[in-house]
Amino acid sequence: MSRQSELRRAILAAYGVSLYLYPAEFRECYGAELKRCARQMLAESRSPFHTALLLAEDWFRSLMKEYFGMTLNRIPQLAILLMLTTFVAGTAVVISQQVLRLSANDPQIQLAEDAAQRLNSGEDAASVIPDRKVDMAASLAPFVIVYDDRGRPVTSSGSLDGLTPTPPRGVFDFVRSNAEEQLTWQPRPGVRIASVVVRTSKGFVVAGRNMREVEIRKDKITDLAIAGWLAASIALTVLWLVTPMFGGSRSPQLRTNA
Amino acid sequence: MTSHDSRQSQELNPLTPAVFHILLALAEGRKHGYAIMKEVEADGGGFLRMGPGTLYGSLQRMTAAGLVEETETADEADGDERRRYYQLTSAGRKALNGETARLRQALSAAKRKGVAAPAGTAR
Repeated sequence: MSRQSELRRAILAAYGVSLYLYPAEFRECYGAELKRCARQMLAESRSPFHTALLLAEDWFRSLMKEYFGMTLNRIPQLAILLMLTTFVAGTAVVISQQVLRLSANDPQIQLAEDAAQRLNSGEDAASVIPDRKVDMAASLAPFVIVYDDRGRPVTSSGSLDGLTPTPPRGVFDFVRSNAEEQLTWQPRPGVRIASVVVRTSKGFVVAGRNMREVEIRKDKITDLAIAGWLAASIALTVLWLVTPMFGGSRSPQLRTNA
Repeated sequence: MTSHDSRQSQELNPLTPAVFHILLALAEGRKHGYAIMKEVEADGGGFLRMGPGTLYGSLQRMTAAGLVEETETADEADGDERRRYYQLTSAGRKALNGETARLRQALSAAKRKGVAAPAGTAR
């Protein structure tokens, strides 16, 4: 076998392999004809190398065109997939953050309700608060504050910068008519307290706990969700791009053709 | 030809050079892919070369647009392979006629304005 015919055979084999990069339907529909044309081009050519260059240029140009045409047709599919991914990731973040936030109210609910019950049964305010004093900014331990009916502190196991802070007046107004409220209270920038406010016969009881650790967990979950969303979006986009190569998506043009 | 075909062929004018030359290659009758490629090359005076990928991509879109149709496969004279043949549809012929008229008009306008063809090209 001459060198020229060996070269032709090698070029044809390479061209045959390169056809696998076309979308599956195009390849299945026209692959044999493409190969036949290439074989004839090579057979009639005086310079197999020059023909190989022509075939390569045509292969690249038509490959781009086929994928570009299919990609445009399939953009709605990708948009739906990405929207679903975003919805799932967003829902996961919202649910997990809500679970974390709600669980941050434990054990304040029990502390506030127990203290209110004891106050209502006539016990002294000083006797219903825990003995241990808590720095609200530094400690993660729960604290209890008793306020009178006008919202002034009566006694407290928690302090912030040496003082007993008071929630906004609107909180007490709300609890006056609704008996209980669970809220995130920010007595000063950077200090966020998971608080439970309960109405008593003589005023209000607030039980709270610094949310520092909860917020760190919430941030971690958000970071994980963003990383997961990004990885899923990239994986789906890559799958979406390569699916036509394996025949996972049918071209509308070929359907018309069939 | 239906009114839909007619509208479709009008929408396709002006045709891309590849589509025009494929239609032109099929003007005299049905041909298989390689014969179309050779005809396009000859009609283009050597200035237009079309590879198999471009040809079959165009044929696929032209078939979908109703400009050409695949006829029954035929046995090759020199072998046992069966080839796919293509021929013009009436919409394809109309599009070809329309494009030829448009090119003729452009050519006469160019002549009227004294636009000379570059040296070495057909006049």
